[in-house]
Amino acid sequence: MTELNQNAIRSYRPGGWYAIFGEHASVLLPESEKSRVAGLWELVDAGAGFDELLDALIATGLRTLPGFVLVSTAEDPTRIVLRGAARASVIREGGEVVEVDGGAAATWVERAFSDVTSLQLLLEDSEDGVDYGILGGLVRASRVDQPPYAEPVAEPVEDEAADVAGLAVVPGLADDSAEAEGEALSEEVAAEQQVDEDPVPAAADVDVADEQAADEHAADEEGAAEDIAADDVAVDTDDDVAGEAAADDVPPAEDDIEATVLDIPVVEDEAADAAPAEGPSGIQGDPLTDPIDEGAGQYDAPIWGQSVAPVASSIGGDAATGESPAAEAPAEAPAWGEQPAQAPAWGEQTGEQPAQNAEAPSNPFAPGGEHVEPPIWEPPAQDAPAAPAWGEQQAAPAAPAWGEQQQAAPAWGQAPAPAWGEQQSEAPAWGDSSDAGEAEHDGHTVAGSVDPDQFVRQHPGIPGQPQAPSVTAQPVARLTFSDGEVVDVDRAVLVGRAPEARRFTSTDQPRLVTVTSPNQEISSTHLEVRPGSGADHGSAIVTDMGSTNGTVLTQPGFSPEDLQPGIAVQLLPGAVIDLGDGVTIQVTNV
Amino acid sequence: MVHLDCGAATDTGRVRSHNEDSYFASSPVFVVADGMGGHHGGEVASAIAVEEFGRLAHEGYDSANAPEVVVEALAESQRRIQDYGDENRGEGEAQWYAGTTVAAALLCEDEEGAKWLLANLGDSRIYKLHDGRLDQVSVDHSLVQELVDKGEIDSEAAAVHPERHVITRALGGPVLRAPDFFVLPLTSAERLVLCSDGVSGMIDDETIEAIVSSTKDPRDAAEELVRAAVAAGGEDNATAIVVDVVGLTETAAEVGARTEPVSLEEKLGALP
Repeated sequence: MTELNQNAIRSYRPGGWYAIFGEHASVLLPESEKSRVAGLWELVDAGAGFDELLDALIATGLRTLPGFVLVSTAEDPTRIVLRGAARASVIREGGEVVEVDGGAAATWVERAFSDVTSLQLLLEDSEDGVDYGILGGLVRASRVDQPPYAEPVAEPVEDEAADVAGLAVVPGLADDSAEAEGEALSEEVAAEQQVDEDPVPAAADVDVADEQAADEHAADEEGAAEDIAADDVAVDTDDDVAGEAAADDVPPAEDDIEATVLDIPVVEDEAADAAPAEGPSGIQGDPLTDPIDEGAGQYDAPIWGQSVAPVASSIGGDAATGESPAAEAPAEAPAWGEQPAQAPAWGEQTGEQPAQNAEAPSNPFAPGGEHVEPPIWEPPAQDAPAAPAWGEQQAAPAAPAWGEQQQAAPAWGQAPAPAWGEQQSEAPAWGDSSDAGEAEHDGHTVAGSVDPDQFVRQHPGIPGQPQAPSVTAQPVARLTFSDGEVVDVDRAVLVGRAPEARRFTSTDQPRLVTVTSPNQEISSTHLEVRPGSGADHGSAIVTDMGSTNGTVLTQPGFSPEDLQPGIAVQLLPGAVIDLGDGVTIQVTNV
Repeated sequence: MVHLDCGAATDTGRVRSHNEDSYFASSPVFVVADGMGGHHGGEVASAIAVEEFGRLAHEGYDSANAPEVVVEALAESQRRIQDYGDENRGEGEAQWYAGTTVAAALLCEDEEGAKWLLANLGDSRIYKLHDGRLDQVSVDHSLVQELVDKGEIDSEAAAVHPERHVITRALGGPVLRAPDFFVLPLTSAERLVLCSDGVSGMIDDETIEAIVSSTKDPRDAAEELVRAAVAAGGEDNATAIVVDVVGLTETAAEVGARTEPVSLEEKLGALP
């Protein structure tokens, strides 16, 4: 029954889920998420790590992603993130068995385990089937075992299973008689872990934070941490290039701020559980983000920090939808109020505020002095009810909270909820007038928070795959027009009789090329050539913008084709684009 | 030479106690700003934005770098609005805030001729009228627009959505967010319409089209738009600017090109 490749490091049992196994991390997606698979496979195959994949998974919002499993395989501790129906059981050195259920949290469950000897992912109910060994690649699976599943039938391995660490078989699954025992063991271990081995060291966080505060960080550490804070505050999800740059910058300093970074998921989960499960989490944008200055920090590595924002937004959104139109303004508050909410945490982290201090910092946004911040709205001291919320959260016994969460999500709803509730009711910083009685008067045109990415024009590319930057450092192709004009493709180039440029920012301004069309055969905005992304990265792609008379593309070695409006086609060097009216464009390498 | 003819109108509406909209309409700069905020914060914020753009009209600007010019004007407005907010919050009004949307049209002339540079931040709108057809150019920075884009609601549902006035970008927020830019050749828009959501939210695009396509004088058109919005309920401040591009004809080159010999296929009668 069991056919295993000798070299396989894991096995899978065929099923509906998409399992993408990579060198550093693996992603598993339910059947419904087929559209994401190609993009993720490209990432995984390129050696993407855990954080990068998580970024890609949640780039379009958590709500659109009913479930997933993400496992880091190249490092210790092994990190696992589960959302939805998937379950994982982990056997650690010494035989401890830990079960993790993706359905235990409204957002996701993240765990980290050191000394993992065996990992099993149960994605869906599967009949007994054949297990196949696999090193890496993309398969459809119902369960995954690492190391490869060993059929326990032939030998009475039940006893050994309990003793021998590293066996690939979960006792409970191997034999019915052992099941009860196995479960009991799991629970025991899980309970133990809540206190002792919590992989997300919430308790330690507080300690570390305290320590840091008390110790008066060394100056350079402070600086580093503040830089991170600035980066985080000024996240720009609009700009991939800068985002990557920032991501590169961040990790070295991450150690310094680990306590704070790890704290943030705590709040995130609180918020998520306090809110109705299906908030408009599509509204994932951070209103504090997207500064106009691209030099500021962007979409950066510690995405845990960012994820606070979307959840906060969804709380606002939920409240808003549940309320009358007149009350919409206060409902927006948390969205704009996020910044105050975060600020004290950062302040503490930099050592400026004692961690235990539940008082609001007098000015949580006071810049560290030397470093430049994007234009930031500075809330006044009395306008920081969010600070107590954070303070409470820190003062609260964080460890038990986390422990509870491992077993049952509802525990989360309790302590944190009031904190957020307070913030909602007391910190309607934006979108609310000071005089609530005037809500009617101010009910129109209030500020809110939505992911700016939602408005970015969708460029052709692979779903789930980061888009190519609008403006590339090096041109990817050169266009030679039949009238002699030469244009390099280092950004979008719009060609037409009277081209219009729609929806661009000051940093990704497209180039407009006007061509004469005596017979009006060429449309006003006829076609677009831009740097490709995803599989087309590094080359130019052409898109007919719905021209009246169409565009004929002749690629070397292929017969001429009519471009379909709106469908991007990769341009090969030597291609000729015919717009009609005698206007052609020759494509060459730069 | 391009000549711009324009008209503008604003009305407090039937519900609000005062008008938080501001506008500036003088060639070559046209701006509508819809303020928001408690007390008179919205009025001040929109006035600041309009003033900064008005400065561009008076002092002139570099057409070649018009997007940067607009960003600078927005950044300066942002700074002043925040200063104003700090002042007020400093006086004990902790919850005080002010912000504004901006929809702007700047005439730009470069070697290729005259163009419109349009900029949008918020949910005030810019439409163009071409061949009698109205076309919304700007894309709202609003919650409902996002929902529409995601396909969760259609435009009819958006028009009555309880959160239809929630905007996602504006001046005066914690961080200055990038505006959207649009470039239109003058030839593709005989008439531009800029309006606050007090107009576009009260009357539908068909009504706007009917008014601006049938009213010859831009001043009359602007007033008619505002009047119709108030008549339709006037729930919000209503402001409209209508700009006509006058005396715009095809360039000599284009006219000349038409008299040039037809193509070989055309001569042979082989056109598809």
